[in-house]
Amino acid sequence: MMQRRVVLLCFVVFVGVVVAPRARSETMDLHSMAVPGATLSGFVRDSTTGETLVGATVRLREQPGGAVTNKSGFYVLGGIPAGEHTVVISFLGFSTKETTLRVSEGETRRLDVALVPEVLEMGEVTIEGNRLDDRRQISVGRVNVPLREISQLRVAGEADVFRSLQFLPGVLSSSQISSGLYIRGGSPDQTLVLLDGSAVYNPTHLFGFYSTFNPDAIKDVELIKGGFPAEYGGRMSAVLDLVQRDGNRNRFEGKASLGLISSRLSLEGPVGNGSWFLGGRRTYIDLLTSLIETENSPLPSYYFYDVNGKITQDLSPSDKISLSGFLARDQMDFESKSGLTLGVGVQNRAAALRWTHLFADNLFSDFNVSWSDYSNALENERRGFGGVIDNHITDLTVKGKFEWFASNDLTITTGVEGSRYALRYLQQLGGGSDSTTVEEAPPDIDTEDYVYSGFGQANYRFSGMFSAQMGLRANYYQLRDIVSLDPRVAVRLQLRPDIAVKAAWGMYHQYFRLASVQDFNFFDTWLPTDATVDPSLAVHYVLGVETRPHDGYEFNVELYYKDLRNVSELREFVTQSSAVREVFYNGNGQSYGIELFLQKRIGNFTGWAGYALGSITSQFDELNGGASFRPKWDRRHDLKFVAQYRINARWNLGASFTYQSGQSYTAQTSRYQTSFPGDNQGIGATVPADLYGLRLPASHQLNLNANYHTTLFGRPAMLLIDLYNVYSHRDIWYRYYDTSGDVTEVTDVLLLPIIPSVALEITF
Amino acid sequence: MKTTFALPFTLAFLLFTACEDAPPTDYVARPFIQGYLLVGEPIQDIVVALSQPIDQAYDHPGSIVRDAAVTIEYDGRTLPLLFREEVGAGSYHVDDSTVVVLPETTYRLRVRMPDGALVHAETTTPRDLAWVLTPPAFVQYPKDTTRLAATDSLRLRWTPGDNTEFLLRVMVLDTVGYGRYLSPPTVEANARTGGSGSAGGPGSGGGPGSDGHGGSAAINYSVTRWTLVAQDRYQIPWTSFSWYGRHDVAVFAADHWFLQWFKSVQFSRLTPEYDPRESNIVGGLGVFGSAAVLRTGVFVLKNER
Repeated sequence: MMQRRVVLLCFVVFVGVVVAPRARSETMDLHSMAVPGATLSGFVRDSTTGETLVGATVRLREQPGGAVTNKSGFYVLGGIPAGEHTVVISFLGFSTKETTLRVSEGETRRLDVALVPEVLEMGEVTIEGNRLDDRRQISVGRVNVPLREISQLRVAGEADVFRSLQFLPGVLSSSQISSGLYIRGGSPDQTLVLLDGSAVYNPTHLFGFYSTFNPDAIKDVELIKGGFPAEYGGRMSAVLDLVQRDGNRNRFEGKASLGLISSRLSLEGPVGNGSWFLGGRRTYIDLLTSLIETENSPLPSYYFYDVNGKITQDLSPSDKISLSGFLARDQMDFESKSGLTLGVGVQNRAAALRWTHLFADNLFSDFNVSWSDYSNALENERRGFGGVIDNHITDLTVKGKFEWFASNDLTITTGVEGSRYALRYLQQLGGGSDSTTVEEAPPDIDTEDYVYSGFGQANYRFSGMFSAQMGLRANYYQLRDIVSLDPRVAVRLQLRPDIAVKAAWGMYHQYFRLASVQDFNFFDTWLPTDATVDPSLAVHYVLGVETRPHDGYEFNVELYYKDLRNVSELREFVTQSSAVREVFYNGNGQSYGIELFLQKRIGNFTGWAGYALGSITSQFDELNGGASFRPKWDRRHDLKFVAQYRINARWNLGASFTYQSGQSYTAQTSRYQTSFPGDNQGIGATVPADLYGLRLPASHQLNLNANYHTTLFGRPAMLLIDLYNVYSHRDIWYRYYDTSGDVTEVTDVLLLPIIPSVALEITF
Repeated sequence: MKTTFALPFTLAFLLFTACEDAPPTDYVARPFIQGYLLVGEPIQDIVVALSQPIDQAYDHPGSIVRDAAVTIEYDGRTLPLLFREEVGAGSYHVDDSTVVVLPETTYRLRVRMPDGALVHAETTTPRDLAWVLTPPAFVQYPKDTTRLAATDSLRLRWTPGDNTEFLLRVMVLDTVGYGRYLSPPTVEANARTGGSGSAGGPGSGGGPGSDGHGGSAAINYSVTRWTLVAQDRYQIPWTSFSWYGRHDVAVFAADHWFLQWFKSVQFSRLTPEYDPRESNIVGGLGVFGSAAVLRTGVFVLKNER
């Protein structure tokens, strides 16, 4: 244990000794190691709101390559030869800005830029640039979904971040009603979901139907499907990094939306030397069901809501501090005529205090203290008898990250992170609900664990054609008392200005496992790695080609292979356990495939077409007789189309189509009857064939939408018209064998038919 | 132009060729064994059957194997089991009813099927149980169950033995006669309590516990209700009694296989599927388990006062 701590300590010392002391003084010369030339740095903002823009491109007109703003909207462009240059700043959806300036050798200059949104420029607009321009960026497996597309991809009138991501090739769902992300063979718990740097556990509403993220509150969505860099850790499959909006720094603004299922309201405005944002949404399913008179079978009352809040202040040109909070809750209550009361609650809460500081013009730092709590609870009671489930995972994390833009060719990123996890699970079913009985039953899980991590990564451009990213992440898990090392490498070969070949390899350890029932994200329970199991491990191999076949178009192809070790499947019939091994079956797996992705991000016609051919196989000694099998979410073919067309200033039309191979299911071959001592009837049971050996019919769906821009009470308004599942193809959710009679009925439970919906959105 | 047409044709091809996999038809009949040895009771009700194809109507009597060679071994003894029709669709038993199941003893079941196949399993019986809190012989069903405190219902407590989980069974013994058990006897007929289904008690709404096929019919007509108890005490809610009158309340300290079989059958979200990991039958399907049982007779008096 001592040795392992020493390893970690060395890593932390590296960060502390090499970076922090040098960064203490703003007057230090961090350019001494850099190539000659001048350096520009600063923030890129939206001119109307003052909101920083993530992923904006800054480059010199006469030179290839450039810089891209980070999650805080900060960029550094170095190695600029002395003389006069035209700096081009561009961002999707904004007019490109050009600034001419003269720099001298060794000069460092702050250049903050405000871009004007495209919609405000009614004349000829020049829109260019994307994340290809930063040659230090390797961008393997990385997809940025424009918020504009997300707001158009609606389900029953509700825009949803996760559902939009499911329209990307290689991102699968277990069913059309599940927002869970199955990425390149990984299950939803293997994707790291970050909101302003805070991990969010189980980010779903309506038992998995919607994600908890209100698109109005989000300004950047980045998905890394594999081969992600060392700055991300704790999950083995993918990263979804979301950035909340800071709010309008210039004026008070609000947006209200009235939809079929929920309504949303967001308010934002300037405060002090910064801004604030407060947004929320709530369903009114409970209000609708309460209007329905039912004599003998009352309907359950259900609602969900979420609230995002953020306040941001610039303490100085180099210091920005923000406090953000997030609360999402689902609640279902039921009270039967016979006196049964049932309450089910699922809650996500997160808060983060973040300080970004420029130690120098090319040294960006980010410190974050975050707290995240996920809980679910069930209480049922009937005439004094009841049961309780109370489940929590609470995560308190402190982390610091430094980005040193040493030169136009070299960026070094390093950081440390420490997390305290508190996990508690209490299950008391079938007992008296009087306090004495419950108190007698101790929690099934009540443990604390600490995880410490440190990472370092360097992005270096060896030449105009070749750049590489090398990183190492070290993790120490206190409960298990082990250190894991995750080396990661990515390279990029720019064959031509419009063609790049990329590759990545990396190791990814995952320490926490999720005990969850597929298709029903409710009793999700996170468990740490104890002495009975090893951490899960994935090794990613990714090879991709990134091209721009035509102006405004991107076409990417990625091949991936993922080796999965110590992955888990829930043991369904475990009611008591003292070790993690008793809760899960553990085995190995592999996934591989190819993804083709054609995207048009600019112009009146935008969207993408994607196709993924993938295969997932698992092998567990205790499942399927030890033979390999494909998991339920394996879908061999995955075809997606998303298109948006802006007809004129008033009308936008959109369509999305998805086609996937049918989900796997386990067929049954025969039947028997079993009973227990004293039973007067038997129960019909079935004998399964190969686990997930067959496929249901293919899943496909077409959705249409139209937006009509108008004014209401003199304010800009938008009417949103949606047609979900246009030709009403009802997918099979699941298939079961009904043995209640002598003849076994094969019964398919179908998903949603066509759903038209209308919503109204007004900005004030 | 070629490209323009290629896309719709490709889509149409994908849509119309999107057939599901054909279900398997290679059914092979497999031996199914079900036996529960209850400590202190005769060896009986050992069912030997064959599974039947899913695409044909299930014929339970037709599934029973009547001519298997069944033996049971324990403590160096080997006893042959005989088939009898009078219990259910037919089962095997030890003819000598004075031979009872011993606690903490390993029993081995061997079944030679008519086709010569050998099916076997073993179970080790748990320790005997005893009441810590002796249940009353009579409970008065309350007139107003919604206002009565939980602690006023039937409370049970027993010695835990080696088990941490128990099965609790509530079985009505006579759904017709009521007054005949009173003193002095009357001709009053039995009646339902009106408390169908329950939360957290035995027989929760056709889920774990009801002995039918599930659904409301099973709740209404079942006479037996089961629940899993994760402690050595329990308070049976009033609503667990579907009928007034004579009841048998039993606590089962089951062995691992009995318990796992119970969970795999009763806790299935849909139709129970055979799970080989929850079965100890070698060469077939089913369960050969055992339990120490603690029983008490409880008479539920009507809420007529």
